[in-house]
Amino acid sequence: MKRELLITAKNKISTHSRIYNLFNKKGYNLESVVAHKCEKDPQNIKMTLAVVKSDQALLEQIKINLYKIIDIVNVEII
Amino acid sequence: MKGAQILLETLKHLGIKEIFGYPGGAVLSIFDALREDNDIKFILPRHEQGASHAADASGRLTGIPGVCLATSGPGATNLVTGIMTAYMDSSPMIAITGQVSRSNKGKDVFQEVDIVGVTLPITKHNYSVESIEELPVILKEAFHIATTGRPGPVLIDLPADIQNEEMSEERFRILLNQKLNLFPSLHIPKLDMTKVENAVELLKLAKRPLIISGAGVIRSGAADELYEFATKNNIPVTSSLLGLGGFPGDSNLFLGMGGVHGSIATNIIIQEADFVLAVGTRFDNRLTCDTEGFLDQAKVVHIDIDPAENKKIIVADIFIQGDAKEVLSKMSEMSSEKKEQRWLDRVDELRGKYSPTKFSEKYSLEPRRIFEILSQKTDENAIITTDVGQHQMWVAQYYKFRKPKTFITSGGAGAMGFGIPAAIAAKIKKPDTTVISVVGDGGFQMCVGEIIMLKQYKLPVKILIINNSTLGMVKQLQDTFKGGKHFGVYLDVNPDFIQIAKAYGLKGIKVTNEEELVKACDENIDTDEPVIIECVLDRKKNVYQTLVHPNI
Repeated sequence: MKRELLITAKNKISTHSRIYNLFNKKGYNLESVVAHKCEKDPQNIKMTLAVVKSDQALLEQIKINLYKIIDIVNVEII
Repeated sequence: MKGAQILLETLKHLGIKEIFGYPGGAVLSIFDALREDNDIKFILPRHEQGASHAADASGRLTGIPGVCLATSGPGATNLVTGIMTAYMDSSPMIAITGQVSRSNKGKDVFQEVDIVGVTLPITKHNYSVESIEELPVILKEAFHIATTGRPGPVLIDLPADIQNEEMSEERFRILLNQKLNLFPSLHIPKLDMTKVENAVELLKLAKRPLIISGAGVIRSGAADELYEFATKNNIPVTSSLLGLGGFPGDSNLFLGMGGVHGSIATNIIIQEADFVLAVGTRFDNRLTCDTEGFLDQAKVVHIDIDPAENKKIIVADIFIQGDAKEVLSKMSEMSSEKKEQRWLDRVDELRGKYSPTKFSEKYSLEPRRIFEILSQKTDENAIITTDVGQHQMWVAQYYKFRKPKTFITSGGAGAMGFGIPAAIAAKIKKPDTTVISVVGDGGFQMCVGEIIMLKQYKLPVKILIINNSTLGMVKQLQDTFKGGKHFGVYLDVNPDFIQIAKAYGLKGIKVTNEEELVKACDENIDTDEPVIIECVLDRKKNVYQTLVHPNI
């Protein structure tokens, strides 16, 4: 089952690298990525990352680890 | 003010007293500013790796980030091992690297490397400075990130042209006093008292309780609280490698290190416990060996400041996110029950059954005896730094650490070459304390150039080389997993370590038996000069009490 992570993060050069790097470290591939600047708040970007595996425990781990990235503002799993 | 001056002024404002650095083309302006600065002590290692290990050790000892500085390109990449070591062991550190000028960025100019990209997975956060306006804020943020919650290294990449750019002092003062942005990711929630109460309730039901203490106890300064809690409830304490010193090694409740190289008795006690309080430990695989079946019988309460440790390895019954000091003192207040004697009797029975046998050999050096002698000859404040390998495990098993922050070692990273730069930083930060660096003959050669600092800065560090002419820990792994077929591990052609000592202007002593070792310790440990003591050891001596598992 496909699951999605909705991420709000600071709009900085290195933000994308930091997020992908975490998936690389955990050995967790991404199915699709959509990212864009927030219209109302140009200091932030919004990303939707889709993953195929739906292991809830692993997703929770990834969520907690995403929060450890300094530039992350918010993460939701749907 | 130039960018380089802003860098130094901000560091001083943050309480930094020294910089371990190596010069180069992309940090010329910083060195020019250092030349004119009288407050920051500049220390010159002979390789950037030495600078990063020294900064790491300085952070572990003081809790204030150690600062290392290197030029762009190879200077920056040489810091990498040290940054990774600090990251794995949660040590506060700030690494500053020079970068090519902004106009040259991305053009593969001389000594250019994307160090922010390289260190992305091994720093808590890293910065590429894009304008001089950002610099004071970034430095303050870096300091805040490195020290808040679970400590870690932060790297700042500073282009050469920004180091040379001008800013008015007035503007600098305004920026320096600006309020810091708060990062949601660093926010530590208020301690959940219901969880603490539940943990105490679980403890009340327990018949065979145990505490596993980790580096978090030392980082949060919770050793006193741990001691109070354990003695009040009569709970035996075991420790991870980096947790050593967090509980007095001479206490009857202390079981020594657990895990792969822990004692048999301790590992049996870990498996027999019905309640485990894990404080500031991340259940490293050198402790758990195999997580399947690990702590199966026990109710587990896991205390850690980092929420990402929850369920990473062990799914605890109760996970408490919080500072070890605060949680332990709260738990101490709430609990008062003395535990029944039967469990402690069982613990003593196991310890008696598996206690190491007495040695009959009087004439050769026995690893256990070396560290028992060292333990007797040093006071409780002495700082021991080690490299990685057999000698490190022998220190962990046989040296009695009595106080926190007396054992500085590369745990998670397992970086050989750590011991000597770490000892140098320890002696600089704690000049009145005995500092002993225990290294193997392999690791000694990895950062051997750094011993010149002992002479240059007059640092009476005592180096103990455990020379068995082998990369012993790997040899031991080949014994276990490759049927004893050794390859690439013999150091039959070693340099003459006493001649090396001489070449660097240091005193060198070779010892081959206990009597000589005792004499060398008596004559040299309390002196004001650095010394290298080479202990010649039989290469057949292995680290005993080793758990064997393919995961190792």
